[in-house]
Amino acid sequence: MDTTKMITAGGTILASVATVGLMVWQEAQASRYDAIGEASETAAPPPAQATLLPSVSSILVQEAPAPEPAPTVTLASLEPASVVPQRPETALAPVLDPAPEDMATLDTSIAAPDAPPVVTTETPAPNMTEAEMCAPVLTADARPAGIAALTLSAPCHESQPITVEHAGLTYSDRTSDLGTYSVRLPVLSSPAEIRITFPDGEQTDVTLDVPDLGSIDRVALQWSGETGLSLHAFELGAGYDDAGHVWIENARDADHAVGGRGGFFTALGDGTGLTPKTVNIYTYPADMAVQDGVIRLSVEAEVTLQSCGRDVSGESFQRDENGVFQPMTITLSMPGCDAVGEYLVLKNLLRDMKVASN
Amino acid sequence: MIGLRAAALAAVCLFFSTLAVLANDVTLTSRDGGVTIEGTLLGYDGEFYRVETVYGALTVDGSGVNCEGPGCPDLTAYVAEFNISGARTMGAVLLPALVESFAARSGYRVERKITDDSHFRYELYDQRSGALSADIRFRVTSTAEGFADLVAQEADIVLSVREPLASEVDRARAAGVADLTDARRRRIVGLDALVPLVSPSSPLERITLEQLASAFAGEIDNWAALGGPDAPIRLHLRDAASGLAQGFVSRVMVPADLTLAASIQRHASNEDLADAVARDPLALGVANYSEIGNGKVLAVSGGCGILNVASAATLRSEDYPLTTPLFLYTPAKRLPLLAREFIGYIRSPAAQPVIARAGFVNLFLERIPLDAQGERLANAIARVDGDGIRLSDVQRLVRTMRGSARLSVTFRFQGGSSTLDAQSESNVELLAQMLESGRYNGTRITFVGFSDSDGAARANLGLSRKRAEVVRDAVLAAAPTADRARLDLRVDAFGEVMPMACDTVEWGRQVNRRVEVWIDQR
Repeated sequence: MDTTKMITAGGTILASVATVGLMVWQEAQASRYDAIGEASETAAPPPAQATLLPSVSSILVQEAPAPEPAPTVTLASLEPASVVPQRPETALAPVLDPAPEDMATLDTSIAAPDAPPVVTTETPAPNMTEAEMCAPVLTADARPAGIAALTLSAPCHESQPITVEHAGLTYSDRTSDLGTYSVRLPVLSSPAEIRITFPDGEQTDVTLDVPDLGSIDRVALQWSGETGLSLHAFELGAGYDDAGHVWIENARDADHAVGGRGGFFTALGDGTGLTPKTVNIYTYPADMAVQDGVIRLSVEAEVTLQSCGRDVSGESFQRDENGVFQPMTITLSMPGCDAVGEYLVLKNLLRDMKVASN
Repeated sequence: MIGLRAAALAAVCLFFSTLAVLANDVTLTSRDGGVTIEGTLLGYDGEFYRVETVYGALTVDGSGVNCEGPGCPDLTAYVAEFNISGARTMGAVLLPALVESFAARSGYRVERKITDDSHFRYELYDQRSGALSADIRFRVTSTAEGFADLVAQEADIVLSVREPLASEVDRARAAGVADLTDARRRRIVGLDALVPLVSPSSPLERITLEQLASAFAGEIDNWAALGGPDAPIRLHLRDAASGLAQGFVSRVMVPADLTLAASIQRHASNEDLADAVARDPLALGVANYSEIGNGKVLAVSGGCGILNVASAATLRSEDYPLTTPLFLYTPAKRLPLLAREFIGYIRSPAAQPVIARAGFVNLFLERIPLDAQGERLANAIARVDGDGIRLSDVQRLVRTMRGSARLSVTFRFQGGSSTLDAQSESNVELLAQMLESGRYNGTRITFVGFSDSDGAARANLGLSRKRAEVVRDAVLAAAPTADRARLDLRVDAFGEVMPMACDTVEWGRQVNRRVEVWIDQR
């Protein structure tokens, strides 16, 4: 993959525009995802936290869901009980000293008379060390249409960029202000191994069986940086912008597919960072097909000021003849800069999906 | 050239020291040091050196010699480069899928470098060393362009959905590139077919080839003439340069002595054609079996009640009249080792699932059990007239069929001659390979001849037996290593008893003149 070239190309420009420009672009990305109601799952309440880390998460459940939480305010009013999502060495240090690893100390010190009742009902595990409290916990549930519902609780990695990896797919996203992250990840293998990496190199992973993976068809495209690439599916004769044209601006969701009404599109990656890693996935639940036909798949590459006259790289994932998803590196020679604003449309890069009703 | 090698080496050995040399840049020395060749390197293909010497151009097996001198290729850095050019039908999905699976199986990591949908390259990297091993360049245009590239020496593999035209054969011969009529220059990769296509909302289920020709000539321009509603027919076909359109003209329009109407809407790709037809309830298209998109395929009828439906089995057996083999043509020169390995892979069992997955019919031998042959048995019974065809003929047929299955390989002859058509020649090779593998040792295999109903039934019976013998002999000749003592090959014939298509039309008679292969079902 030609990421270095992309970094230089995108990086120089971004750097010259300075941070403001970068943030504007990030916001544009964020609002794009919000518009389709898909990507900003980080803002959603973490559903199954209570089972993850009992002593910490039951507090979180009561505290967390605020879409735009103001941690410092919460801290002031509930301190120190609600401190848990905060980084221990900063928030808890004064209280915990001189024996920070001794939870008994913490217990007595927070059992202040005016503390909220929720805290007193908690019985934090004795002898829980800072490292244990910080340990990220990742759980996953298999959902219909070959989906893994991921839930991450990383109390010491709040508002941090993360990298999610699975079967060769890699994308960048961000934890919430509470160090949580949840996403519905279309998987490419079962058992599916999923790993999340934090900026400090810490990793957490989970493996789960996705029993219905064999009953869906799926294609993925991923890239690094701003490539102008996008994945498009045209279901059963649909034309551009028809209801059956499924792409980032007409993404649908897995429920749509499970109802037998067609496939759905998943965009992963929050587009932040200098070379954000982004994944586009289209899923068609083959066993739900109600008519025979074909789904045409195409890849579009917008000719931008960043990409014109250069090579743009990505990676495609399609099932091989044995049903195993195979990655392939693709490099596109983009047209010259007089074509900025135009699109390179590749109709033969991905094999069309054939659908047969049962 | 290769046959000369040993003699040339010996000659070089004797005279080398006494002769003045050219501006030599390589010295090839045999591993034991006994033989030395000096010359100018013309090329290296990953396996063989071609060296211009005082004796002319020599080809030397690279595994037997060491190369020294400034002209020697860096063997570890050798990159197999070759160009694949031709039909979009094959180049869009099928060949790329084959390159990718070949690479994966052979231990190469593959990258696809794209200029656009018609121009792209595959780079194959050795998985262990990471070194670039092959650069495979694709030019996906049309069969005609592929042959033009071959003549211009810009194509090493031509993708073709039809046999070359006489003019293409002449040009290739004149350019000294290849004799395209030589069976060794072509290989069948898989099968496709021309199919009449309509929108799924059309009530039509069948069409005769004569009606199809008349519609595409503009003589029939209303669906009412085909048993549909009173509405105009809107015609769709691939562009004139495509092998699909050319094949349709030569196989359907020319026999009907008709020419294409100007009103036909042309499409640049099979996908566009299928999509346009599927969208329009009044559309009638000629599409590819491999790319029917969301459209509905019509059965082809000969007007006598027998329907010919395109399916994997009827394409393999050529019982469907518009079957189109997918050809690879190669020039008469040595391709790089990796290119030859790739071509070998395409014909191997391992590649067959890839071909099927790309939407084409692969070359697997299929067993068609008696249960699946009810339709043609009904044809046979309907044929009984008490005169030429007696009930006893059909009863003998049924007795023979019982307990055996039909293999999908079927043999047909070019326009009534004794020359096998291209697909049948390929079938000879396939069946011969199976015999050589020993898989059918001890199994009774019967070559069963059939004829059309032109002429007397008795004469047709004799003719069909003759054809069956010809095919048996051809298969045996192609299987020199088969263990004949363990083969149980027989010949039988039934003449015109069991037609697969209507004898009222020439294409139907062509389908009926055939040799089938029946195999004992144990």
